[in-house]
Amino acid sequence: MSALNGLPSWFKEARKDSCQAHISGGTHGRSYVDRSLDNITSFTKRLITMDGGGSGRGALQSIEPAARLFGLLTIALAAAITVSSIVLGLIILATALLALCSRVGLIELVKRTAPSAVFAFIMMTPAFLSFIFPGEETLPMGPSAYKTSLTSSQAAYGAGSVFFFVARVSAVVSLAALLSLTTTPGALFNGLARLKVPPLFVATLFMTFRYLFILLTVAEDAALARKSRTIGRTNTADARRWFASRAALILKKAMNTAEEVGMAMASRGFTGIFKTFSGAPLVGRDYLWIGFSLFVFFVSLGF
Amino acid sequence: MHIPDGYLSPKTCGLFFAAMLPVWYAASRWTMRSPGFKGFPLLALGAAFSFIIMMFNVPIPGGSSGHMTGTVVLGIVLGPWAALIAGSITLALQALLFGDGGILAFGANSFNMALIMSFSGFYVYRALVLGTPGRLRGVVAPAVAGYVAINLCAFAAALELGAQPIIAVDAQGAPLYAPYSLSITVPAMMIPHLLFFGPIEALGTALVLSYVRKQEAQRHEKVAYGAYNGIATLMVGLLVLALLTPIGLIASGTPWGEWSVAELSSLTGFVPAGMARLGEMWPGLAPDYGQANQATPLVKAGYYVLSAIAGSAIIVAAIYLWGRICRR
Repeated sequence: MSALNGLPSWFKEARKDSCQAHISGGTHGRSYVDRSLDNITSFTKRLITMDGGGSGRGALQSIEPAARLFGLLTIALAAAITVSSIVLGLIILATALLALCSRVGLIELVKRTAPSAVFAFIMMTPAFLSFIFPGEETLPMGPSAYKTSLTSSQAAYGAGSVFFFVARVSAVVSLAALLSLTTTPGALFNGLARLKVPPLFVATLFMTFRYLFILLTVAEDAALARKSRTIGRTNTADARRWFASRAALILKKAMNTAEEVGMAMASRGFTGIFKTFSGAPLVGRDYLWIGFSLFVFFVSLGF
Repeated sequence: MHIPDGYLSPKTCGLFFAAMLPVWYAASRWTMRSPGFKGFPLLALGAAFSFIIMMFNVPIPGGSSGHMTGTVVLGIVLGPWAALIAGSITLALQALLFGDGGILAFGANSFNMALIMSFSGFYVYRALVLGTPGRLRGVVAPAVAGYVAINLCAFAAALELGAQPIIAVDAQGAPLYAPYSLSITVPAMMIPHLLFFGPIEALGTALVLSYVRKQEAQRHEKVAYGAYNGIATLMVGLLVLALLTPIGLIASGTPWGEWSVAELSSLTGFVPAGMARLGEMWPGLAPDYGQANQATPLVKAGYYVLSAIAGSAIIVAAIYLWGRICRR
């Protein structure tokens, strides 16, 4: 009882509203802190699962990383080039087969591809209307009295273009998703180095990936601390101040870490020359894979 | 802002790759050679910062929130060339590992989000701060830089998307890639960026940089207050100089221009009327620093030092009083 008496009065008051950190910033529903935390958590989850996803035994995983990267990019280029619905359909089918052979679930692949496909579809929705792609009226919509003035008709030509566009976007995005689902970041960077991407870029990419974890921890701690310690109502100005301080903290942390890493590298004899592993030599299946991807590419040029 | 694959024709993608290759090359050379640059770890951590900052939601008036890109912050802090590489690295990671933005459209995205944003942000900022910025310019300059940079980036993306129906159509004239013309893409991209994303980038950039500047200023103030040894050395030096002032007595004759009326008369043969009237009107509290002509050199030196101490004390007291008056 005596302990209760020592508490401040505001602490003993029962309040009906939720924790103020939740509604700080004046938003309805989720606050900026919640959204930031969600972003960070989901991103961390993706980073962590990335290493495990590409290490499974499957068709694509057994191909040398540089050859895998080259092949998938070549097929993506073919999907971008082709003007044939048949070729595009075959590429989508081949991507699905590759996913299955590589033990990547089709649901996982669709989950990765769907946002881009849906966005492309929404973006192209106005193209259904005949004022974007004038064509033959195939599906009259709306009262006949307004039909001509509203031009709310589905033009077959426009519809075909929309579906082809969405299919193309889906094909290319699913190939990129397949690459990330079947390749560990380490293998990807190794593949890039073997494809003669300048070592400075590969090394920087690798280091960026590694240090993302450190900065993510700082960011997550900052957001979680804010959420845990905010009891009273905060206004937007306070929220902005918090954002500025945390962003500046992360920037400072990044600069300090860069300096420390640079000094550590210099003390270990780094002279600016990057050395990368040459990797395993290409074997028969790698050549077969490269041949297949080039075949798809040349087919896309002809149709 | 990230253009996904499938929206730009392979010709456009190839063109932007070709355009960006020499830029990346020049940027890597420029960055690694620039004095004071901490090497490629700074590029990597800069890219990681840009990545992370996109996950933070910036609260904006009205209760909504959005995220900034951070490229302008990097451009101002690291310089445009380093920010270009860091921005490109961020885009490459996003495209290769997370599927954000196209792999084939990487060149175009780098052109928009790394090249245009870092350079325009940096130079707009430099033009507005005009040297060392005050409090107002320190906030306004990064805000304007962020706003201009993201809108230029959006405009470039709108032009690239809007050009597709002109450069890539099938035999019937139907667009093969992004189908909307410039009259649609430009307003579709610019209106949200001018009204929503631009203010977020402006606000975020201004907040981060003003906070960084505030931190730096506090650090410098601490260093200034902590520099007791420097001040002590200065005081000792000044005291030694004050004690050495009698050395001036070794010099013979009167310094040029400090002649008395009698000396001037003997030198030139006449004395100007005004000088004759006012020159000897008030000889001062201690003429010739209180030295008597008959005094020994040691006594003269003593008078000299005492005069210097008295003069210094009077000036310090005057400054102290002035400071007290001004503080009120």
